[in-house]
Formats: sequence, C-alpha cells, structure tokens
Amino acid sequence: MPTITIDPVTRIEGHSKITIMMGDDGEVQDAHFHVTQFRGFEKFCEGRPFEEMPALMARICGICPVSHLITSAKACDMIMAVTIPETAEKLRRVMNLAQIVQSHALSFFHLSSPDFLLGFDSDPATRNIVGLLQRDPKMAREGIRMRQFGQQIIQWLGGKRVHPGWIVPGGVSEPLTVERRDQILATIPEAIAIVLRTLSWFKGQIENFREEIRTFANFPTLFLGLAKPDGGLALYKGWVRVVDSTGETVADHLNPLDYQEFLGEAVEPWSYLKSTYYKPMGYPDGIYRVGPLARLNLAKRCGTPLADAELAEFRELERHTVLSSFYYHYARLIEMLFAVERIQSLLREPYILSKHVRAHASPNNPEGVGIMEAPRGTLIHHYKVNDDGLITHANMIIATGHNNLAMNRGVLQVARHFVHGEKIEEGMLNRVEAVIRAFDPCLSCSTHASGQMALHLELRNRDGELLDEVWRG
Amino acid sequence: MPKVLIIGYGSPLRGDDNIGCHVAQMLEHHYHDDPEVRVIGSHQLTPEMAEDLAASEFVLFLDAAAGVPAGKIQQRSVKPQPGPLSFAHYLDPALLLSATMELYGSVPRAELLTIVGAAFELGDRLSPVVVRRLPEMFERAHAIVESHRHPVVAELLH
Repeated sequence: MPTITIDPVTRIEGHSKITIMMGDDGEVQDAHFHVTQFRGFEKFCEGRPFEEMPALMARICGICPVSHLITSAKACDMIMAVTIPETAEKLRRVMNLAQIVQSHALSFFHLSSPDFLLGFDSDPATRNIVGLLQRDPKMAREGIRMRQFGQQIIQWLGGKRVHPGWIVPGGVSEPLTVERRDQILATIPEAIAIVLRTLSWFKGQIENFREEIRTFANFPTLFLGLAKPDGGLALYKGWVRVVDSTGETVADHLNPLDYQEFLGEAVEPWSYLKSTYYKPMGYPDGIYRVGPLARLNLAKRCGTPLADAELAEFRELERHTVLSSFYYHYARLIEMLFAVERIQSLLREPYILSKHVRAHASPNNPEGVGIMEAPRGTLIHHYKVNDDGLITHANMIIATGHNNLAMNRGVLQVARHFVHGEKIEEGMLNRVEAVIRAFDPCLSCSTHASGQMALHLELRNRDGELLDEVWRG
Repeated sequence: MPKVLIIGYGSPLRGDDNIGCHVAQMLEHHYHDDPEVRVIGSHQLTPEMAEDLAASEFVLFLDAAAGVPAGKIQQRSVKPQPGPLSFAHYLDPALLLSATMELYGSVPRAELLTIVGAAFELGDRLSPVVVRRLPEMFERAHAIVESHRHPVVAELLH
C-alpha cells in the first residue's frame, strides 16, 4: 500500500505528521494525524509546591498561556478550598477574553485567511502572511491590530504579554487601576469595528468555498463544552454540556469535577496523543468536537447584543447544528466579537476596581480540578497534593486531545476527496493541512529550534520505495 | 527609540529549546540601563513583532538549533524570505522580516545566532553541554550587538 507522509513538524519527542495510506487502486484508504503530547509531565510536576503550578503551566504555551495559567489557578483554588473574590473572578475573565481575541486573531488572520484570499491552489511561497499583506494589506494590518488588542490587555493586566504571572491561586495579585481600566475601554470601539468588518467580509466569501465546506471534517459528531446553567455561552465557568449532531442535548449540567466519569482516553499505535471520547457512547462512537464551533453549537445565546445577532445568523447555516469544521473560522470571529463586548461590560461593572482580589489559604483539599474554555476548547488541569501541598500527580486534557479523533476523521475525509494517484499536488496538500488548520491545534508546546519546522512530504509504495517527495520550509 | 532589538525565543519547558531566552535574559541584565537596546524573550515569533522590528536599526535573533555537534554556535545574516504557511503557530525570522517589509516598507539588518541543543525533552533546565557554552554564546551575542552599534570601533578592534 503506497503511503503519503506529510511531516510538518519534526520534534525531538515524537513526530507530528500526516500520513495518508493509498490503496492499490490509487485511492485513499486511511489517514492519520499524529501530534505530540506532554509525555512525562506528571513526573516533571511531582514534588513541586502546588502554588507554583500556575506560573509553571503558563510556560507550556506561547499562544494560550493564560488558559493554562487560569485553569491551573482554578485547580489550586480548589486545593485551597477557597472561593475567590468576585472582582478577582471578573478580572480573570477579562484576561481570558483578551487571550481568546489574540489567539483567534492569529488563527483567522495570519494562518487561515491566506487560504481564503489567495485560494487553496495558490503558490505556497505567497500563501502566507506576506501574501496576505500584498493582497489585502488592510486586513493584514487589522489582524495585527486584533493581536495587539488582546496582547496589550494581557500585558496591562499581567505585566507581560507572553507569560504573565498576575493570576495566582486565590485570585489575582494586584487590583485593576482606574487608568488601566480606561486604557482598555478606549481600545474597544476599534476592535469591535474590525471584527464586524471581518465578519461581513467572511460571510461574503462563504459561497466560494462550498467544496471545502462540504468536505472539511463535515460529519456528525457530538459537541462538548462548558455552558451556563441557562444554556448561555460559558468560557470561564459552567457545567459541561454535550449535544449531538441534531442539536439534541445528550447530557447537561455535568459536573466538571467528575470529568473522568464521562471522558475516556484511548491510545492508538499511530499517535502520541491520546484520543478522548464521550464515555457513555464508547470508543470511537463517542467522538466529539470542542472549541469555537462546538461552543456555538451548544450555547443557546452568547449574552452580548452584537454577538447574539451574529449567532442567530450563524444558526441559519444548517438546519440543526453546524457540522462542517470549515465553520470553525466563522465561529472564531463571532467569539472574538463576544469577547470584546464582554470585556467592555465586565470593566463597567461595579466593584471592578475593588482592592479585594485575593483569598489566602493553605492546602485544604488533597486534590483540585480546574476547567475552563481555552481558545481551542475545553481545558482541564487535575492535581493531587500531599499534606505539605506538594504535587503528587498531575493530569491535563488539552483541546487538541479532545479534537484528536475528529481531526483524524477530518483528514481522512478531505484526503479521500482531494488526494488521488501517486503524485502530490499542491492543492491537495494544502487542503489536507487546511482541515487541520480549521481546528487550530496548538503545537506551541513543542520545540521550535531552528531547522526543526520544515515540512516533509513523502509518497511511498507498498514496498517502501520513494515515489514522490516534497520539502517545504 | 532603541536602535538594537534582541529577540530570544524558544519553549521554556523544552530543555535547550529555551537557550535563546536564557541568553536574552543575560543580555537584558547587561543592557538594563541602555536606552538604545531593547530585549524581548518570547516563546515564539509572532506577527505583531513586525512593529518592534520596524522600529529598530538592527535585530539579533537568538535561537536553539537542531543537529550536531551539540554546543556548536553559528551565526548568519537573515534576509526577508517568504516561506510556506504552516498549521502551527510558527513564524521564522525571515518570514517575520518579510512581513515587516510589507507592513512598514523597510527592515532592520538582522542576524541569527544559534547554538545546537543536546536535549529537547520536557524540562526547564539546559543540558550541561549547552550550559558550558553559555558564556561564549553571550560573548558572541554581545560582540554582534556592539559591532552593529559601533561599526567603526569594532573594525578598529579587529
């Protein structure tokens, strides 16, 4: 059986690649997406004081450090058995929303919009941020402005824009000042205008991508994420909700602390990353998706006026839930709009400037679970500690793991549609990569050493002979 | 406005991948009171750094490298060069310079200084071989920065 291998990120600890197995008839038989997970992380954390965990966890990722920071802090709150001050919770929410904006902006404007603007068959040498700048400099600049919007808020609140240490067990370390609040509020109108313009543009492009919409991980799955008790969109705190592909609620008000009762983890020989599934439906029938598309599929409303208007229009795309993963991009834009609106409303709430922003306590519980919605989906941190508060066990389930089954099935679907024969064409290669991009998996935890990020694609026959090979980067 | 920008980047939890940030911290300490030098330590390169590049006359990128032998230090000039789109959140210095050129119409001179890492496993410590080479890496970085700040002096010294 000939095998096509797309090897985009050669890592020291395992490899991340796409493998497409070809049958003798020249058609795709199977496909896999392989990514690295945090092997050995439990050992790495063992023996560390629990209160050090948020700052340590934030260093996992350069794109969503705030997600790991807050989720870790929430697990520590539980170990301390404290309810953090209301103002602290709101400030954590603001920082998380800022991160949603900057992360979604990176995904939409700089990773994916070159596909929309230049086309999936365009020259890879120009289908990048530079090509975007040449084709539509205004959009490229606005993408950078949205990155700066989110990063600036994180920096203003946390002191640093990449690995801020402001969020701590028990709350946040410093209250918000009037000056900072007003600085942030002053940036809101421009951000809203940019997102609305981009949404309008994107909706106008949808008709050009009917084939991709039809084939980019477009199949029935469950959708899982946090929701408020009334069904509203929840990013910081909520119950776990699961809906099926018809929009019917499969489970609701699941306690996040019981995640091990409803989430299973399967190991496949072709991947370093465990595949999570919804336990009551078994493996692999319990396949589900998380992240922006899932959140909008399971939320009854966003809770802000402009985002709710956009959500109503989004719901018109398909009769029940929106199944095509191509629409992750659309969902990201709506979430960005919600995030900017919500930052504004949070900063206008009473007591946002309160000086009481941190609860102090020693460890009072032997374990703690933190859960929240990261840009790419539900993030869970689970720690156990001994009597001295030292970590004895750590477990994390990241969004890329939740989506692993769906990404694999998506790669297979798009490969079956676009990959034929024994030659690797640029358009098919990019579409296989693009279906992964739609999920926006985070490989930020990997090594970035110079020379490690080349893309290698191989086509081999059943005897292992090299038929075709492409290097990029 | 700072004339020189130093960007050290890498994952802080991937062993030697973080060497760029380590050296950046040493340089930050050295240039702490120097208004002409700005130092950034970052997990990875991101698009908005184009603004930082555009505001500088010279940029030094500090990174780890894969290969052999471990501890080998290499320096090369970086020119704007568009590269292919990745599904990872990743920019390389040449692509970032290209974006800077498109956005701002000019780019600073740029050098990339790397050291070959020995261990990239999960961990927040550098390998012994890289630790031993840290002083030389710092000296090389310092010399590069100074040669671009004071080209005439550097020429006389050589």
